[in-house]
Amino acid sequence: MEQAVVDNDVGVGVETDRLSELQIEVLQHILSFLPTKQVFQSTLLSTTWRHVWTTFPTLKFDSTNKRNLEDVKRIKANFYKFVEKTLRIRHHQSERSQIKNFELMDGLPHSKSMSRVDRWISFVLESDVEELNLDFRYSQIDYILPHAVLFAKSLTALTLYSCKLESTCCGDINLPSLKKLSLSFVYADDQIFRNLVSGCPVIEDMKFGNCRGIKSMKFFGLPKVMAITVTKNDGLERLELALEASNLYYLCIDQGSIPELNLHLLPCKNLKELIIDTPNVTEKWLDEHLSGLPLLENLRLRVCSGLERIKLSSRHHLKSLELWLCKNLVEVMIDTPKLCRLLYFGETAISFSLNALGLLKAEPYGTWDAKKIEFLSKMRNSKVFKLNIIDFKDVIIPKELRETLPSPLYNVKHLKLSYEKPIYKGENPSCCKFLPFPCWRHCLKTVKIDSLKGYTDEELLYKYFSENAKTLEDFQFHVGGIA
Amino acid sequence: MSNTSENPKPSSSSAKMTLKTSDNELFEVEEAVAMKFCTVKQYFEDEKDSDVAARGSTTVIPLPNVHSAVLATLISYGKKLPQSNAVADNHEEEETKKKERKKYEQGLLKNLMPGELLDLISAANYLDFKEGLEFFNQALADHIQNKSVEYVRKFFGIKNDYEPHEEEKYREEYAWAFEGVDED
Repeated sequence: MEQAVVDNDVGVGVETDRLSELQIEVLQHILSFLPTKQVFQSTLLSTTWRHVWTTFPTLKFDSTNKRNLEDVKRIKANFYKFVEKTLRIRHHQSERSQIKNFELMDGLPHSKSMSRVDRWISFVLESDVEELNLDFRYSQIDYILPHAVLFAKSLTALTLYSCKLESTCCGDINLPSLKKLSLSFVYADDQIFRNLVSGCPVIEDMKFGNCRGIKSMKFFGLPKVMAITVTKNDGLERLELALEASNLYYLCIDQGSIPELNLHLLPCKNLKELIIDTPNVTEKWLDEHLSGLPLLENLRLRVCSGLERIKLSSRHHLKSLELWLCKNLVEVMIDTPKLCRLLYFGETAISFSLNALGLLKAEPYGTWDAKKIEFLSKMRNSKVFKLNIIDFKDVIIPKELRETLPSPLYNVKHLKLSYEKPIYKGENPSCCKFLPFPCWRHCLKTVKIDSLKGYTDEELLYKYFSENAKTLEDFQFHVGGIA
Repeated sequence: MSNTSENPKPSSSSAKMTLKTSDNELFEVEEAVAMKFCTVKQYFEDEKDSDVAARGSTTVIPLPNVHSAVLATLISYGKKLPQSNAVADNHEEEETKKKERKKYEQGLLKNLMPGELLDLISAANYLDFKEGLEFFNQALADHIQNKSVEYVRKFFGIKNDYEPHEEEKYREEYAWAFEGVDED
């Protein structure tokens, strides 16, 4: 076995250099866990390490200066020199090594700096890049993506943040290997969108977020697509989804109310997760889609103002349902055994009926009233219950109510209060002196309080609980934790 | 863990395979774990094709590049990984298993000498044990993270064969890579 060497500077080391003898792929794998700067520094270990860097498949360059050092100009200049040299050397290698993965985050100060980036990208494209990630969020100008990127045969994943796509005079986009496309804060137009849809035959994941300039999006064809996300794209007027016999398993639409929305989801039999926020969703729509999409497990409905009633029965297979701010919702009836997660954020003056749930998270807001207590009481069968209350004083249920209504969660065994600035999440059922069932004071065994920010008086809380909870076994108070 | 029987009896519950190390020790390993060593898997599948009679129970797979102590650790790590043929656990069981594995991993790394780590990496690479390689390579990377070039050289016994002016040139031309990195 290897003899150990003890060195004052490094502690126990290794006598003979066996690290350098490992296969280059192994060394590159080890270095892949380290930041680019350190990967480069490996060049200096010994001359035999030079080729580890010059053939390193991943290049990630980030010019943002996190440590806020003073000499910003010089550091930037050094950064450009570094990238330029690295790419040039690889470009001129006799046996060009592939740059599999290229990431660049740079703040371009003016349009003259675009040509430099253009040059780098062309080097990278010539090295058969597969995953390209360009982030120009800190730029003063809109970087215009070179057309060659949209014709790159080797590209399998393209992520763009804050740049501009311009229509080519020769039209089409051709990305035969592209599987993943993610555009954020990108300026494009309808023609480019159409070309993307038709030019990516094997695309699996498409994401359009906060893009500008696109008025109409129609998703059709796309035989291999599995996930589509369309969120907060400014100025979008028309969105249509017409996929046949598709592999789509994830769909997220977050566009608010668009003038024209046509989602033909029923053919997407593999749909597993759906997030949607459109007034088109009605009780009928819901019933149709829940029955017609048997594999649907997670459903999130946000601001669905067309929804008045929700009725889930045992023939529905949903596992998780989230309802956010559906303001016209009046009645919810859930009787489905498979549902193990329900998140509700909205008014509680609604009729709520629940059956057989494993986990429940409910966020009713507003002041306490009889309806809310009744709402809470419906939750009593859940194994874990989290109640988020916005207003500090909402923690205490008004005295009058405490005396007239039965305690909603009388057999709660573990109480976990989380205090977040300024929201105080907690749950304080009322006491039960006059009632047949024992209340929390008699059942409560453990209290865990996670304090994120803000003022919480541990002494007071401990005193309150130890005085009131007769069976309290464990009281924990964490500062800085998150529930 | 080592078993010196020459003819291991096939177990009724799960098939076992025998691996022979460079120092001639024999290890009887469950098939599910051994199959994580892709080199072994390949060998086993080749054997199966060529000689039906010698399938499974009497095959001893030789691993001339792996020492017994190293194989013992790799097998032990392999056992702690989620098994592909295991019944799906519920959420709680999964969490406890995860915690156990984390604890085991921490214990393993705490007492590991750098030479041993290199042996493990070398063996995991030879065996094509992907999860093991990922884990031990990450461990080595964690150790040298943010450490200076001098430290890494000393630690791994790497001889610096650069001329001083060559090294100086690199440091100057690629200055960005040496900016703002904590020297230990």
